[in-house]
Amino acid sequence: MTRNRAPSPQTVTVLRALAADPARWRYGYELGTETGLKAGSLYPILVRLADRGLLEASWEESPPTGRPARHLYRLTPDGQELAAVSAPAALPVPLAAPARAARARRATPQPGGA
Amino acid sequence: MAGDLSAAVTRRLVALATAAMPPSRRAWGRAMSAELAYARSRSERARLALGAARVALLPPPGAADYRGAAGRSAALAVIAFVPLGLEVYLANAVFPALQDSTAGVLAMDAYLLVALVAAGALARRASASPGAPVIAGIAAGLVLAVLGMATFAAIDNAFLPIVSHQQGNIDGFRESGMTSMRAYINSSLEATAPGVAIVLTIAGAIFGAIGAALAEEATSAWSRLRRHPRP
Repeated sequence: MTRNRAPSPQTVTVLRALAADPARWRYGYELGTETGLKAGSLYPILVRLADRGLLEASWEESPPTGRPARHLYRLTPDGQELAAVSAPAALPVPLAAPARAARARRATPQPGGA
Repeated sequence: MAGDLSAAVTRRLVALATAAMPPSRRAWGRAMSAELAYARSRSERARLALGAARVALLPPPGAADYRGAAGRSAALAVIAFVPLGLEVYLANAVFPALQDSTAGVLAMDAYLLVALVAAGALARRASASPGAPVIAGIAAGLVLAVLGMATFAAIDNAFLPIVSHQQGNIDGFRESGMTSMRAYINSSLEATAPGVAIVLTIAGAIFGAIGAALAEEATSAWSRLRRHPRP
């Protein structure tokens, strides 16, 4: 039995962050910094979005030397559609301060590059 | 040095949490573990470790994971039983009363029901399957029944000179016609155990489902409150 509920405000915040540049792969750390969500809240949201086919995940192919490959995330077309419906611009800005969000945007990860 | 130690500890914690996750979720544990290597401060590492622990204990609802739901609620029942077992020990061996107080028995029953409701609520958080809270409640009820009967058996036999002064045991022993108080107490426990297991299993199924419904309602109410905060 699957129910389609309206996404929680935290999920909407994550959707907005991902939808800001839907083609870009994002790190979990970057998303957490940008949205102000702690890992214990962020990851369950990412898991649920992935379960529903709204988020695609990929492992980084060329991580920095001596560091493990990270998981990267971006919205699927269905996820982008949900973001357009449930995360319009009129909603409150992400929970994190703009400065933190800007800091998090500096890196632009790609699955194939560091 | 301290930084290395804290990094090693948090790495170990995340690895443990990942191992505790359902198999279908372990890739997420590895994702959090990888992020750990990029965390800049001890507090960031601690937050990631806590997050991984939360995902392990309360994995997001996913595919029906009955074994996971039963396992987690059994663990919850073991933890919930600790104060209960202590109370049984104190009330029977340390501060023995000649008769059970009605208020004490009711409080113990209420505590058991709360534990079963909590098992159902936990299962609802962990699985979207409607059967998971019922399975979880049954598992918790069975664990509580087994632990309860084992505790009574251990205390009654270890502190026989004390418990044999309880009025209920004296009356029952007299009516049984048996010649040994120990044999009487053990045969009473054997006779009672299946009934306790059945009652707690049925109660677990019912109150587990109630716990799941309450958890769902609480989540919806919290979500509504977050969306439309009162002025």
